[in-house]
Order: sequence, then C-alpha cells, then structure tokens
Amino acid sequence: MRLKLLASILFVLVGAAVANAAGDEAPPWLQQAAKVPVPIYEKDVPAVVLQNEQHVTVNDDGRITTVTTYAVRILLREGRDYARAKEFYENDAGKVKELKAWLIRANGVAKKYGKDETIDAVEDPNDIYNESRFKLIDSSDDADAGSVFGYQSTTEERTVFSQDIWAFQYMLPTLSSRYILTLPQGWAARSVTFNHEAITPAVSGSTYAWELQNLPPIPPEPKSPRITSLAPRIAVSFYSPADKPSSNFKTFSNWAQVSYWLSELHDPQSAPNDLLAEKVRQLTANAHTEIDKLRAIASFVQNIRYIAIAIGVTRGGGMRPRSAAEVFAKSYGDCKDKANLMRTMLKVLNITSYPVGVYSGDPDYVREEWASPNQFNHCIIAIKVSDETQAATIVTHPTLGRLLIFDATDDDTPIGDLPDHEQGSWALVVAGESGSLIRMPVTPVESNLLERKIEASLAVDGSLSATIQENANGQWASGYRSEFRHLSRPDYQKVIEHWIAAGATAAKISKVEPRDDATAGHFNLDIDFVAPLYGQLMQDRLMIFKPAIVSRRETLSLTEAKRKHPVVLTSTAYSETLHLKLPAGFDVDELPDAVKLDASFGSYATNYEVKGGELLFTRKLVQKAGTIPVEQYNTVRSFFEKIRAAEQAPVVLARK
Amino acid sequence: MKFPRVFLQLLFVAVCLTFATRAAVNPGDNDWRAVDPAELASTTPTVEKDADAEALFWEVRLLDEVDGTVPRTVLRHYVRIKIFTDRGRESQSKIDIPFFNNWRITDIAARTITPDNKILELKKEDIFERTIVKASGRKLKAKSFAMPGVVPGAIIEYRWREVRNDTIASYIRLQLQREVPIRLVKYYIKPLSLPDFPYGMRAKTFHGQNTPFVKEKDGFYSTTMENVPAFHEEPRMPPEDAVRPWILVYYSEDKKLAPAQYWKELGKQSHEQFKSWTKVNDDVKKSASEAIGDAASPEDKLQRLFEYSRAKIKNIDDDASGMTADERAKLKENKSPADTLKRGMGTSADIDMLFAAMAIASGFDARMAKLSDRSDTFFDPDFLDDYFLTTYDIAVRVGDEWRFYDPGSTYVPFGMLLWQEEGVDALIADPKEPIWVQTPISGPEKSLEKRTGKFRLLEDGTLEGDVRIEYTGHLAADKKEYNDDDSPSQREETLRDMVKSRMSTAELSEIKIENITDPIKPFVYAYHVRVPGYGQRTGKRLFFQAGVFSHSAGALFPSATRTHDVYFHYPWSERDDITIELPQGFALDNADAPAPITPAMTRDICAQMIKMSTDGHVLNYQRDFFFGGGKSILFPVRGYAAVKQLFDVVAQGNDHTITLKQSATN
Repeated sequence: MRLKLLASILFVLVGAAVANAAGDEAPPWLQQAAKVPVPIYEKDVPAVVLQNEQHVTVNDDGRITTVTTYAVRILLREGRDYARAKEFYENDAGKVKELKAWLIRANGVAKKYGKDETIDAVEDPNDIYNESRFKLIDSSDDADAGSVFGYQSTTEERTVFSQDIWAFQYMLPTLSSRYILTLPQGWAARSVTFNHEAITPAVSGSTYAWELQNLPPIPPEPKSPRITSLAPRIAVSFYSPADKPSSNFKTFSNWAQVSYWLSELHDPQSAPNDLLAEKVRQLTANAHTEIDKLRAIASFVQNIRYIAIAIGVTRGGGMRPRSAAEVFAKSYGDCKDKANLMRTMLKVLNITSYPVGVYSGDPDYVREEWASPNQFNHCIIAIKVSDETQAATIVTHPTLGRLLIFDATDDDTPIGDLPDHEQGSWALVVAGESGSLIRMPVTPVESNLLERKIEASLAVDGSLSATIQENANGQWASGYRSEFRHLSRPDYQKVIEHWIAAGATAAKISKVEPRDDATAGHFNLDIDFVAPLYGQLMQDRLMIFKPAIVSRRETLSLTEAKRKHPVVLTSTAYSETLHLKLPAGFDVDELPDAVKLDASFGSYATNYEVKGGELLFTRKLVQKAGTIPVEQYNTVRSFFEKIRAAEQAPVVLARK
Repeated sequence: MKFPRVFLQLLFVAVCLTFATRAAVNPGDNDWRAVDPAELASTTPTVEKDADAEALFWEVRLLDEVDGTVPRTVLRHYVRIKIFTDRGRESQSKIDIPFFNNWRITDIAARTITPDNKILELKKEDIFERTIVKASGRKLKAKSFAMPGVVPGAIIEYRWREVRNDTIASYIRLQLQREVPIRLVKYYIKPLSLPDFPYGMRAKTFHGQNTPFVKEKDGFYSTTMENVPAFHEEPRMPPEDAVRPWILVYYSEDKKLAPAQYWKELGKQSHEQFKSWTKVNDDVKKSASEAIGDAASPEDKLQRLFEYSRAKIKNIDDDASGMTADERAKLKENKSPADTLKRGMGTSADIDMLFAAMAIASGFDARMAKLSDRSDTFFDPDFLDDYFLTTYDIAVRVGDEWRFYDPGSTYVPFGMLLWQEEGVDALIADPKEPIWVQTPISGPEKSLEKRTGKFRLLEDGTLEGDVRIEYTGHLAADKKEYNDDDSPSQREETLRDMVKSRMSTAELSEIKIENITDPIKPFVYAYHVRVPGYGQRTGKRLFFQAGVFSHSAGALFPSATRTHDVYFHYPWSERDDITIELPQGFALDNADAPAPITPAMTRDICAQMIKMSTDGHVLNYQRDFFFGGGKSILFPVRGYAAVKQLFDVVAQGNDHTITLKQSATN
C-alpha cells in the first residue's frame, strides 16, 4: 500500500513535469481515425475506441514482435482516463521497443508524447519480486471531451508459448478491432472464438486477420457476469509445419498435453525432505481418519503466508512452483507454492494429489475448446480420497477417481468447501497424460446456510434487549471468518456495532463473542445489546416496531429499471427465528401479512405468530447458484424488492 | 488559498512520511541485541491488550553530515517486533524499503526468532531490489524481503542503513506512533555541525511526551517514548497530525527572539513581500473605480471588488477552468496585479493580490494574513517557526475590525473563507506591528441545506413527487468542488447514488443540477422521484417516515467507544419543507412529532425541531436542524458519550414513523 502510494505520487509528479510540446503533428492513421463518425451512444458512455489493432509477427527463433495501434475518442470528461497508452512486458524476456502517443484536441491541435513522457513501472508493487512491468504514457491531464488519443507501440518478447489471446473490446464501444498474426512461411494458425459467434480470419499467405466492427458498449451492472465472459475474444494457437517442428515453441493440441507439460514443471518440485516429513508426522499424530489428516495438513498450508515471487514467466516460470522444501523452510509462497507444498506433505502420508489449474475471479472464463495453460491464473489442489471421506467438494474424475478439491491459498475456506468464484468452473487436473479438464464442484445451498436466532424483549417504553446467536456455514462462514481474521479486534467490534446500529439506532452492545471453528467450517457469533426507543410509542396508545431487527449485511443492488446482461446468483441460504417477548399491557393490533415467494432461482418466506405474550417471527431465504437470463430480470428484481419490503414491515401493538 | 508546493518538497515529505512509519537502528554496531527469553515466551501484548503484534523497540539513528562536499542524511533503522496472532504475522512479515535514485540502502539484515528459540536468518539472495517506477530520470526503487518462518509467538527483527544524498533532515516529521503498538520508540539524532553553518538543528514534539534529548556518545542526542498505542483512524476525528505524537526536526538560526518579537519580524518580512505583489498602477486604480461604481458602504465596495476580481479574471488553478496541464504550463507568470488585469487570467494567488491591490487603490488598508491550514494540524503560536503558516488570505480593515477575503478560491462566498482557514490564528502583516487575529468561523446558518419536497403517497406505499435541494456556504463549496470536474451524466449518477444510499428503490427523473460552477448562487438539485415501497402496508394501516430527506441516514456515531476527539469541519444547518398528499381512503392514525432538541438542551450547539400538521388530506412536515452553534466544532473525547447520544436522538427523530389507518368506508 505504501509503495503504491509513493508510486502514484511519482506518477503525478512526472505527469506535472511533462514538457510542453504542443503543435506536433499526429500520424496519418490517427488523423484518419479521428475523422471516423461516431454513433450516438447512451449519455454515460465515456469514450469510444475508434481503432484497436494488434499485429503479431512470429519468428521461428522464438521471438515475437507485436505492433499495437490504438485510437480512442473521449466523449465525456470522465473518459479522460482512457487517454493512456499502457504496454506490458516481462523484464527478463521482453521489452517495449517503442511507445509513442498523440493527442488531438477538439480544436485540432495535436501533441506528441515520447520517451520523456514515458513511465516504466512494476505491475504489482506488492509482490516481493515480479518481472512483469509496463510502460505508460498518460495523457489524461491534457485530454478532455472531444479529444482523440492514439498510440503506437512495438514490443518484442521471447516466449515458449505458441498461443495468444485477443479481446476485441472491454467496456468501451469499439468501432474497429483487429488482430493480425504473421507467421513464418509454412506455419498455420487456428482460433477459437468466445462470447461471440465464430470469427473466421482473412488469410493472406501466412498472415491471418480477425476483425470485428461496431461493438456496442458493455456497461457495468451489479451481479453481472464478468467482462471476461461478455466481451468477444479469440484464442489463437499457431503451429510449425509437421516436417519442420520448432523447438522454440510449445504447442498444445489437447488438455492431456497441457497436463503433461505442467506436470513436468510441478513434479520435480515436490520432493519431501526429512524436516518436512517430520512436520507432517507431527501434524497428523492425532489424526485417525483420512479427512482428519487432510484437515491437519490443509490448515498448516493455509497458514503459510501468501507472498509471490514471479520469475521467468514467459518461459513457464510463472507456472513452476518453488521447491516444497524451500517453501516449507521460509513459510511463505504463492498459490502454486502452497498447492505444491500440500501435495508434497500428502505424499509423505502416501496420499496422492494433483495440482489443479483454475481461473480465479470468473467461473466462466476457462473454455473447454482451447487447450492452453494460459487460461489459468490460479493453482489449487485435487486430493485423491477414499470412499471414507465425504464432502461437498468431491468430484469423480473418469480415470483418477474421487478427488477432493481444495484451495490452500484461501485461508478462510476450509477443506470441504471451495470459494464461490471457483465453483462450477472448468479446471485442469494436472496428472501427466491422465490429466484432464473437469468441472469444479458447486456446493449445495444447504451447505451455505446462515442461521440466526434472536431472543428479544420489548419493554413498555419501547426499549429492546436482544441476544443474537448466528451460526454461519460454508461461504457465509468464510466471509465472516475473513472479516474476523483480517480486522483488528477494535475494528471488528466497530463493524458489528455499525451493523447492529443500522437496524437498531443507538444500540448499546454489551457482548460480541465470535467463535471460529474453521475445521468444521462454522463461524458462530453471539451478540447482546439493548436499543432504547426501538419500538415507537404513538400517543401512548400504539407501539410499532420492525421484527426484522438486523439487516442481512447486504444491500439491495438490483434496483435499476433496465438491464443488459444476465444476473449471476451464488448459492446461499439464510434463516432467522425471532422470539420476542411483548411489552406488558400491550396486545398485538396488527401483524404484517406472511410472505411466500417462489421462483426458479430461489424462495423466500416470512411468518408471524403470537402466542403466550410472545411474537414468533421467521424469515427464510434460499438462493440457488445460476445465471438468470436478462429477459427474466424483472422477475429477479421484483423478488428482491419484495424481500426488502417484507423486512421493512412493522408490527403494531395497542394498549389493552 | 494554498501555496503551490514544489516537486522536491512534496517528494521529500512523502518519503519522510513513509520512512517515518518504518523503523530504526542498532546504535553503533551491526550486531543483534540479545533477546530477552521472557519476551520470546510472552503470549500477551503489554501496550494494547488486543494487539496482533507489538514493537518491542523501534529505533532510528539519524545523522546529518557532509561527505566531501555533498551533504547527506544517514539513517540506521532497527526494529524488533513480537508477533502474537496470525493477523500480526500477515501484517508484519513482508518488508518493503522504498528509496530514490540518489539514495542508497545497505546493510540489510533480518531474522526471525521462533517461539522455540530457533534463529532463521534472512539470506542475501532473498532480498530483492526492484524499480517500482522510473520516469524522466527519476526512479522509485524498493528493496523487499519476506521474513522467514514467521509464526505467532515469534520475534522478528530487521535493520538497514539508508543514505540520502544532497539533503539534510530539515522539516521532517518523525513519527512516534505507528500502525502497531510500541513499547519503546527511540530516536538518536546527530545534527550537521560545520564551522560556518549558522543553523542549528531543532526538534519540537507535538501531541506527545517524549523524554528530553540526552547526550549520547559520538555526538548523538537521543529521545524516547514508551508504551505508545497503535494509531487507529476514526470517523470525524481531527487531522492525523493533530492527534498523533510526532517530532518536527528542522534547522533554523537561533536569533534568540521572544515569541512576540519573532512573529513581529515575520510579519514585517511578509508585509514587504505583500507590497511587492500588490503594486498599484493606473490600470489597477481604473479597474477598482469601475468595479466599485456607485457602491457607498465599505462592505458594498469590498463586495464589488471581490466579485470583480473573480468575474474578470479566469482562475487557471480552477478545475472548471477547462484548461489542460499543457495550457497552464504555457502561461506566462503574472508579475503584478496590472499583468493579471491585462491578461484576464491568473492563479488563485494572482486573483487575491489583484483584489488586495484594488482595495488599496480604493483607500482600504489591505494586508496579507498568514495562517495555518487546520485540515493538516492545529496551529500553536508558541512554536516559533512559520512552518505551519502554509496559506494566506487578504485582511482588510473595516472600521475597527479586520475582515478576511479569499476571492482566489472560486466557490468561497463573500464574507466566508475556506473551512480550513476559518477559526484559525492569522498573522496580519504590518511594516511595524504585525498582530494575531483569529479568523471567524461562519455560523450554521451560512452553510444551509434547504430541501423542499412535494409528494404524493399512494395506497400501495409508493411515494412520488418533486424535490428541490439548495446548498449554500461550505456545503455548496464542497458540492461544487466535487461536481465541477464531472460530466453532466456523472453528476446525475452522483445524485442517484446519494438518493439510493437511503432509498434503494428510488427512481429519479427530470434531473436538473444548477449553478455547479457559479461562485455565488446556491448549488441546486431538482428532480422528480418515485420510490416504490416507501411506505409499509399492513392489513389496515400504512406506515411511512415523513422525514423523506433525513430518515434512514443512520446514527453518525454508532461506536460505543472512542479514542480521538470529535471534529466537524464546519457548522451547518438543514431545513426541510415537505408536503405529502395522503392516499384516498386513509386517515392519520397518529401524527405526533418527535420530541424537539432545543438549543437550551445543548448549550446552543445543536437543535432539531420537527413540526407536523395536516388538514386531513395533506401532511405538512417541517424540520429545522443546526449543528456547530457557538463555533463548537471540536469536542474532547471525554464528551464523546454526550455527542453520540445527541446524534442518536437526532437519528431517532429523523426515523419517526407516521401511521395512516384505512377508513371504514374504504
């Protein structure tokens, strides 16, 4: 964080120090692009990409040269941030040979940017070491609505991968987007199209060109699929002639080949040493069942600190773990280091396991039809388990058998559960030639249940005293655990105070008692509080109060009248029971109507019952994981609005 | 108005702040100090009971010296931290040491002492040097490493040497409080000492009690502070440097002046500068005369000059000027008010100086008033240095009073200053007798949020109607500053987010946002709104909150405990005028108003009066609220319970529910 802050200060200062060079001439291609008529978009579209072209030239010695030509017209003042040229490179195997940019202002005056205005920065300042860097020309301070910004870059790199990915757009509308690939004579390319109907390249000799035009904007929407699952992209693989195979590039025709290649990177790194083996024996000394052993090892590996050191990325170094012995000795590592350490520790127990390549952040990102290690950004583990072990995260592989899937990097999600952003995605079990792509498990709704019991008493003056007991499971527990583990105790207390006060103004909390049982996947929280004037007295005759005392810690996000993309829901369930002792001298005058909602994606119900001077209020939500087509948006929106309304409904008491 | 800061100053401050949050040194040698077995065995922190990690000591040895002909600051850092929890392990075990081109980081050493007393040394190959950013010959680099084998119960310690060339440690803030509690923080300082160097190093501590500096060997002086709790940020607290303990280290000549004499000298010097910046020529005189026109009273004349200098001169520092960085850089510097008039554009400072020059030309006694910025820290005139007098306004004598003006700040109304400059000590420059005067704080009525709504409540609980919200004073300045750089659609989005944060189902249409860049008129929102589910319907009743603009805002202070004083930037007031047409077939079951908070109940600091009336068809709701009466904007932490309770009651009043009952005929 500190480094990011300092880096941003330097960015600003360099920007401010930029030499003035108005009166330059933009190149003809940019002048031409600036003349392209732009359609009328919705008024919040900040900019439109006029031209986005990447020309990749592959040399058979392993060198790849990429020329990027990009032009964007700024439509709104907020769009100034798009007036930036950014090119990534790997420090050890690549370079940005040239980066030039121009800004054509609304009045036609052009400005040129070159070396003196270029910033060179590390991609992630928080990594201990990372060879990924970028060069940046930032023209956002000079740009304004009506400006056209363009840049041209030439990068060169050496890589072992004979594959590439090209996204035709991101959020901005794009008038022309083109990917050109020039191969050595006799080579061939194949492409797969995602998020769009198949795009056929125009082929001329050994040059291929894929092109899309007039792509509409992709506006951000809550609970939407990720941009990576909406924007059209292609994945391209290229091959040397069969009679002249290239030794400089690695090609993959199927997932088994990818698995085999990754196994070659992983397997040599998983040799246990004596110290590591001794630790395994210590950790599992009291573990009698298979799952107990797995839990003991998993918990240890989760506690290894996440620290990334990325070296040799373009040579596959980004996919090769450090040796398990080294990670064990230093007690830190990244995702693949952790998966490999766990695998090595399990090896000591004669338990077989495999690294698993997965894409973290978008369960729909990885596609079966393109065999490539470049589809993954994260590494987890699949553990071969016997029938004795039962868990919601076990999948059956056609040849490897029952595999328990586990993410050792997520230290809040225990064995038997999986982060929801990985559930349901395609992932590669790396098992030599036996490895294959499989679907990650989706945990059932009932394993992600939050149960809340509230015992409360309302006094004649409207004050409320309440005891809340929460029992969170699955991803609910992971979320609560994360909050508890990552906030200091005083900050955690404040979060709870804010949450209670949002439903019961002026609440005074006397107990906040969290109990985390990560092994079992539970997180319990007990809270005691009093809230003066919770019930509102009216003319000393009526008292009203809301039986939904606390919120569900989530806001209503589906409120817009219109929507463009489907709604993505995760698997979750919630159940609350309130026993509230009514104030002496009052009877219930009116209760809200019970609510019962049923939809394909879930159900919700409330119920009210008065018995023996006590109100029993229940509310229950079940939400199934799934993607709801945009045509059904109104149904989803209405479902959640009705829940909101039901939870605002008051009870009316009247003096006897 | 703010003085522009030059690159090196900002860079230097940023870096000092950064390193000031880092660490320290082994005084003199490169050996690790012995670890106390009791500290290794301890399982509970001593400074703060819930701490995840605690610095056992945090030392910095600072030495200013000359290497050949190059001045430099050498710092040796030595930190020892006990880890108690996994959170502590997470937050403390990765170390980044940032540095710039002409600095050197050497002698890095680190080790972990595990709970079972094993020592894990950091290997040289595990220290990575990275260039974080480079541009135009400047580089920000970092040496980074991860502490090996850190577990709860372990002690980690690390040290390094840092050489900053071409600088000495002047006007740097040395932090005594960090993000973790510290048992002992210690600074060793060795000032630069040269035969003909007239300046002496001085140190001034703010908000804490460190020990007096004592002489150590090799020319160092040391100071310590013990049992310093971690710094925790809180909402609505004074600026960080007004609550954290820290030491300002700086060089200055010891003129052996008493405070009165020191400020007098400074006030005289400032006046000399001011005179050179406010030269009056015929053009200035002519413009002043044109601006004043037929105004007769001093106040009217000054207001005309104020408005003239703002209206006639384009402020190039203003976001809304539409000027790019390039265009600004191209502009020539205005060397006099006449230049500013001639070019019709200038910086905020140029506009202020033009105003002052025109006032002088019109016979007013106008001066420069140097003052501090209370968004940084609170000024103490007993500290004899102008370090905190970072800003200024124009003071004009009217009768027996000094009035303060700042036409260079575009959205500050006549008669007000930026909130950061209100209520602070101002040194009014003078050729003979400069004086201190406190700038006024604008009362709550000057910063008003006036909200008017005409609504209809439907039988199903939907609320629909037209809204107009006007902001004046500091509230308007804040809104204008926030919005002036945005496009119309972004401004509408900001409004939508604001309304939806309290009423998530609200649908806004016919949005108008007025006077966004107008320096004088109120900032205005006007819109039509429809809120499905606003009222809650039961079998025979309909419930709703008549305080459409204030309900569900939540209590301002939900936390039961507080560490720092409570601080509001400025006083403000709110006035709501709402009419709600009730649905047919429903009658009021109750419309009693919440109990008032009267000025008498709060020593005139705050009040909230809510009145409701009805003719059976329309409910009239009027709410008047103010806070900060009597210039009360800073409340000691000991009074937190009372402040919290006050705002709890305000929130309860705002959430007051009205009940309608279905009439028998419906």
